[in-house]
Amino acid sequence: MFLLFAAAAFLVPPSIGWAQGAVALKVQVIRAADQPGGVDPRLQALVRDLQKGGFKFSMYKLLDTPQGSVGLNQTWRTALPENRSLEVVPTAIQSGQHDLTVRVLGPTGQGLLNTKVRLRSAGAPVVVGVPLQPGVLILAISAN
Amino acid sequence: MAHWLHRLAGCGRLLAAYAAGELPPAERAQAESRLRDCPTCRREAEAYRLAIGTLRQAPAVTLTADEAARFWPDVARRIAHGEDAKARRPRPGLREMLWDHPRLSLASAATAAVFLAAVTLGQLGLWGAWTTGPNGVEVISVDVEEDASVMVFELPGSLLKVIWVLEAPEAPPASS
Repeated sequence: MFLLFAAAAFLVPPSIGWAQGAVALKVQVIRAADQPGGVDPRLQALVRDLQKGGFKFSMYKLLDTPQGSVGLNQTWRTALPENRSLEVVPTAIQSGQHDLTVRVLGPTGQGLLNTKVRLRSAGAPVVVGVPLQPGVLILAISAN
Repeated sequence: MAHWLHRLAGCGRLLAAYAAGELPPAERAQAESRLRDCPTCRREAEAYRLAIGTLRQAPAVTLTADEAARFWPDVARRIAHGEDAKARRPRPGLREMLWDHPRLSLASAATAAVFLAAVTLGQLGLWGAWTTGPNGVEVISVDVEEDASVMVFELPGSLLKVIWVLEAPEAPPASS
């Protein structure tokens, strides 16, 4: 029996070890503005929370929901409107919490925002707002 | 009028006072006129309103004697640790937003104290559970462009933490 387990251990593909250190990222890319359009039905829960907190935009439109999986200290990138981009680097995973470095870059690659956050697995997202013409670009970033 | 001209004319203070509901009727009409003409001013006023609303609902912090005894030495350590931050250039937008307005100045000092308390007690394991909630988010650090300003706040009544980057003032046109 011991030999059977030992053999099985050698047969486990190395990708499983990597997967344990991987973080699944999901981003909701939202445009909010004071203009007609209402609330995208897919954003009802998030917008309800934002409105409870005092946000008064009349239009919330879900532009994209990029998602992916990335290993520790590796960079995950996705494109944003107006030639901007988002970079997320998981720097630690511990007790169901993920430490992430989040960067929003401008069209020329300049850093518009560089932040470090700690998210709970399957917990609330961190919400980032950056100016957009017209309105505001809202990113709801979650990790699992 | 371009937004940067509004900023030069002290519009930031006017907008902050407008968002706080502290303007007399005549100045309020003036502020509303500017808001109609300047989309950037509208966004700025909305950001002030959000910040002021959050500050007015900031939770009170009560420490036991034991917690207080551990809290202040850690604050002192953090202040000493942050001395090198003095070498960084000041951010005019943030200074104008928080320091030029007396009421906001007091409010920002209170927020800084609450934020520092949250971070410090969170590290001591005394406060994290209810400041962030079971699904909470902790913001460890934030940095933005030199001319931009940023606010970090938790929405009242929700678990969401928001990192809000305010628009950097438009650059003045180059003189020919």
